[in-house]
Amino acid sequence: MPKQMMRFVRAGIGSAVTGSWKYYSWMGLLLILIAYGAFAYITQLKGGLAVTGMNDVVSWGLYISNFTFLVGMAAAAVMLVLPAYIFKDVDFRKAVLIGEGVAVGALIMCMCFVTVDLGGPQNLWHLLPGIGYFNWPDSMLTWDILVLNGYLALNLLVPAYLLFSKYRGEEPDKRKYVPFVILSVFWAVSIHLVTAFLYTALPARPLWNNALLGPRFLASAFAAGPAFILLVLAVVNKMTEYKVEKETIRKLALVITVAAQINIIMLGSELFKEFYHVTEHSASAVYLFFGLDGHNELVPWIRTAVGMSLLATILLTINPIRRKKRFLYPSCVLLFVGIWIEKGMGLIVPGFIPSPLGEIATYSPTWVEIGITLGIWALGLAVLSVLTKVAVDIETGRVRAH
Amino acid sequence: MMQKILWTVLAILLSAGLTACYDPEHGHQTNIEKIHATPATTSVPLSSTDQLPQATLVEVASVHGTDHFYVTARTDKMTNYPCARCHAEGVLEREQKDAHWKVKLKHASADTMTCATCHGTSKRQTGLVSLSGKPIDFNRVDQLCAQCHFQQAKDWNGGAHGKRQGGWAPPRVATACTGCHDPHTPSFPTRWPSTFGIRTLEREGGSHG
Amino acid sequence: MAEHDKKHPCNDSACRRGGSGGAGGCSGSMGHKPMNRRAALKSMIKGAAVTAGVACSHTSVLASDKDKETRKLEFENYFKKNYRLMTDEERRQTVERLERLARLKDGINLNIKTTDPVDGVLFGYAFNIGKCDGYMDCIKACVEENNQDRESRMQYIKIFEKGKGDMRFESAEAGFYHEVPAEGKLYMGVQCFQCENPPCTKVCPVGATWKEKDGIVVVDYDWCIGCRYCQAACPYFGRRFNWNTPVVPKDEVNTNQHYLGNRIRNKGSMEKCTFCISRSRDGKNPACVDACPNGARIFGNLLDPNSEIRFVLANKKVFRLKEELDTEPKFWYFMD
Repeated sequence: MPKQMMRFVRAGIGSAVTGSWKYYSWMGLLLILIAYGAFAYITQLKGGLAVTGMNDVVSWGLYISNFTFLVGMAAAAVMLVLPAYIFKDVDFRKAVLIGEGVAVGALIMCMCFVTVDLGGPQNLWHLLPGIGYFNWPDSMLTWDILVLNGYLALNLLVPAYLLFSKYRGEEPDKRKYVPFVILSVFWAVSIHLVTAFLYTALPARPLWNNALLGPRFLASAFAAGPAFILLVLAVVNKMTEYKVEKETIRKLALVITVAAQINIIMLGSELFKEFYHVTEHSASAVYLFFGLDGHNELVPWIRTAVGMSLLATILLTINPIRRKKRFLYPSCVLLFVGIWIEKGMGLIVPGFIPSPLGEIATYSPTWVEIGITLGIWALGLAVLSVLTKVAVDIETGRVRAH
Repeated sequence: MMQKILWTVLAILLSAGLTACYDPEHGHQTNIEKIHATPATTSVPLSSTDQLPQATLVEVASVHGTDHFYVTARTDKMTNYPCARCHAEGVLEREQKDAHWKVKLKHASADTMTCATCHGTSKRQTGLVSLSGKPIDFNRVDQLCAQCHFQQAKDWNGGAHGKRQGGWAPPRVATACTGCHDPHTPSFPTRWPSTFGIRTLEREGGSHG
Repeated sequence: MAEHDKKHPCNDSACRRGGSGGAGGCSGSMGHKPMNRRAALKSMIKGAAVTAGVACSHTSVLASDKDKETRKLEFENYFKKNYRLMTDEERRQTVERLERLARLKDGINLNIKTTDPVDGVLFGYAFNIGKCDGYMDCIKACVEENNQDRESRMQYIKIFEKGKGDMRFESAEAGFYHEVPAEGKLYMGVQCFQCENPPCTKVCPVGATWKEKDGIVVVDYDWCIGCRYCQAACPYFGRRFNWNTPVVPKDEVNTNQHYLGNRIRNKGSMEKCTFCISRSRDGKNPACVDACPNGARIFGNLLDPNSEIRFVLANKKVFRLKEELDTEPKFWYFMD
């Protein structure tokens, strides 16, 4: 067995580094961005986090915004699994493989974003129980570390098993992987709830300290994540011989639509709560949507984001429009970008403004933050591309054991 | 299979609910409750007099807690004391003219106070004098000020007014009234702050309010 | 009120952030685990690299003895435990190591204490809003006593100028600079309130911040990973982060330090007011309390019924900020 595993790994690496010129140029572009991100990170290590735009008032910025959004992406990947299992009329294995590739890429991005946000990354070993001090169960961050790593393990092992079986030309044993797939569905919900609880837990931040944040996270994740996966499947459909059934796309689009609708309803609920009777507790929401004391840096961003999500939801709701690819794909892009803005910069940054003592400080990411963010996104996309390439090659039989 | 899973989940939830030990009623104890529930500390292995090796301490009766606290003596540091040093036989004008001639009195109004209100009229004084003529020691100037400023005096006696010397550990050594207030012009003038507060906006080079 | 003709200190170039610091400390790994072939190979290579590095530093003709000792001490300092878990002996060795490093690297003689909390003491603080006139002598004393970063102008204390009739912080101004007290204004100081039920200590993933027995909430600066979750959790803006390497001019360094208090921190570490732990555990008042010329600040032992702070709590109409959050701050406000 181990010998075959070694060959499987080597075959996988071989598949990852060979491809068409399109594949090479795509990976080349990603590698350039990753290198730029690495250069920016070295700058940050040397100069400290002072080279970013963060300060004592807005102490989390672009990095944690992206982390928050990407945990949702990872969780949503599993939404391919759930309908496939419930509807039972789509190709289970294909949906799982691509979805879990997205999950792995998103999880690696999450861990990178949290690490680059740390002021003292050389002290990460302090987290290890035993030699360090792991403040579980008090600190929600420790819960997050546990569930994210567990989820990563699940999302690596299940596709690895499926691909290894296919590589050997065998049918994967349902009893061996289906329980883990079911577990990963529940686990996905928990990773995003735990991430939401990081923010809900803080009575110091009235914008976050409400009961709806967790469910809102789930709804927006289950809209943006599958939207992204649908676009990935479209790319896979076009560029490879790995054909995804029309049924899969149709059911997936339905899932995205329902999630987007719930997302809009929840947004309405939040807007009512903040603005029906404005108190000092609404100050962050006022800053975000209308501006505060002459500071309206985020207003165009949030209004664009909400507009995009709303437009996409309306388009997707109308059945005949949703069925046409030339409306479906742009709607997915709109939804993805709108939710990225709203959940990232539109949630994390305004949570800190005004400060707990009423002071307004603004935040604007520097080139270092933007560079590192681009680099990590490129890394995630590279991981996704490699995993997808390997999965497609093995599934289409191009790579198999001899 | 599904049934088994569902029953297991239900069992876990039920047992978790029954064994949960979160008690919101018991969880929150205010600081005041905590203070009264903890046995009082009457002594610590630290003393304020360690920080005040040079001071002579004068006892003051307390309205609160212990029956007395201390102020530091002034008389060993005053230059024009005792009054009888110069005023016993009559002052030689050429030598002592500037001892306290230039003192300006801006305290209450001229209708209320003159120099004699606190210093009395007799040049053979060894100290201050109360409104009814009783002598008051220079080291116990609080008795004098308390005649009009009785609210502040009560606060000062308890510790809510004024400054402490030598740190927080017992015994309590308070600063006498004249330690902060010039008795002849007691009001504090306006002044510039000794530094400036940082507005976080400025650190990013943002706009100034 | 006179128009001030002084240049606002923020117009000078010293205000701009900048600065470079050294790269992060070394990151070796000392874990041992049962081996398989691949793991054995990995650890052999790692061990060889470390040995080579150490050998280089010990045998190099260019590295002086001072450099070698510095590197050795920094190496040991990196692998120390969380202060909470150290024995008294380990704590003593830790501060000796830090004192030696300061002598080698900066030529400064420090006295770093590890004074334990005094039994029967719970510190409390009261601020008299009626007396504060906005002098900010407290801020100046605090910055000097606690060796705070001069480059980012870090200040634990904020003095807010509020218009009479509007006590909201949202309309207050902390960056004022004019003659004080100004007409129609009152002044209110804010700093870490050393909560009895602190929301910040709960959220730290590595347990780098905790509440000591005498009620002071402290940070083990070398244990902090810089995630800033505690800063997000504090409802009072009590915590400060070192975004850059802190810089204190050598002649302004306060050499009387406490490990959990005013020793000079590192880039990427959180810090906060500690009620001047190096002073208060020796019976002295915090620097802010002693510095205030108006006697607006009162400090003492809440468990001593004869203390001034107990008199204030019993006789003055006190309140605290954001009482509804049940954080139980040990910092009360009152007015005469």
